[in-house]
Amino acid sequence: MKGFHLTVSSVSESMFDDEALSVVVPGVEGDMEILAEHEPLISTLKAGTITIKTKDNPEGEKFAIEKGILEVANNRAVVLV
Amino acid sequence: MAGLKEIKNKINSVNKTRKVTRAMEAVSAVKMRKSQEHTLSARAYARSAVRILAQVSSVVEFGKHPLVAKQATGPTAVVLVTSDKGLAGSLNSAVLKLAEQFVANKDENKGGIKWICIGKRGLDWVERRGYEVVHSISNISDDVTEEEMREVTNLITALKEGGEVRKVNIIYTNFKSTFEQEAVMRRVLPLSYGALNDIVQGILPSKGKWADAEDSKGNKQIADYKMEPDRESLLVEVLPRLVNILVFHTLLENKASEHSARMVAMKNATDKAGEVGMLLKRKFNKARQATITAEIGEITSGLEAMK
Repeated sequence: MKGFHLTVSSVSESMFDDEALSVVVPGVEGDMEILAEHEPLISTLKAGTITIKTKDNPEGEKFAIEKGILEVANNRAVVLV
Repeated sequence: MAGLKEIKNKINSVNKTRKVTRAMEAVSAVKMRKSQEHTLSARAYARSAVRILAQVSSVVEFGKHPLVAKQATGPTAVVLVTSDKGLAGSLNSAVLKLAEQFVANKDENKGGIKWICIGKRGLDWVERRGYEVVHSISNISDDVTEEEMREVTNLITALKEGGEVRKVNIIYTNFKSTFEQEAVMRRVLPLSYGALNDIVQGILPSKGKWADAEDSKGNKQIADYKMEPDRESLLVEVLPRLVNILVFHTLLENKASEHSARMVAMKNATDKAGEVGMLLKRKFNKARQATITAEIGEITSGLEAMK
């Protein structure tokens, strides 16, 4: 399965910065799953959980967020919380 | 030759000054470490935010959003980021020099300038010259949060949206290393792809462990984004937030620069005081020796006279 580069960061730290297979984020209009080669997208996120699946961790790593901004372009996704 | 007593007093006062500057150096060193860490870890975040902002503004350029739209006339708002306290080497004077150049550049500032001051030094400077201050904040703690900058962001976005200003510039100090800080002026509003991309490039440190040029490579201009929820409500929420991160980032850079500059300035002062103290000590010893020699001379000549 093809991966993409995902960065999850807050002001004080970078929580994730690596290749990911999929990420599920709480979009304002419901949860979305981002996979590789997603079309360019910008969205605001509401409070909820981010689940990141990687090759080494197919179960998924979870973060709770309060709010955020998601940007996807050029096969890379950035989540600012 | 100066009296012994006077030299002694001078030595004492130099030593006291040295103690003070050394204490300030130590305090600044601790603050410097903290705020550098803070700034550098926020850099990745700020860089992503400004990059997204650049992308979004290139897309909405056709959308005529008030924060993106260019305006031909009107004054310029300048956000002047300085420290509250002095004794920080050339930190503030470098920023104020840029401000002065901007004031002198009549082409750039036609329509007048409205000043927004963050930090007391800049405010003093602007007030002394009798310029128009729209807003000022000072005494910002080192653990400043993003939320605290909302005030400034709301103000500049409101000024631009209301058409009261043509553009908004920000002058601050970019932190490069403990020994190198650079005063820069950037245009914040109207948002444009080119100007913001310059800021993204500027956020990259020139060396050190955070210096990965990776991030700037992937920044191809995207033709169009899908936006969720709809474009209007997304922009209303996202643009101010991203602008806020930008303003917040400049403040962090300034803090890191301030403490680094002060640490270095105080270190230099301490070294210099040590040097001056040593020279005075030498002078004191010479003077003492001279007095003793003179006294011995007097005694022996007295003895000679009695024979």
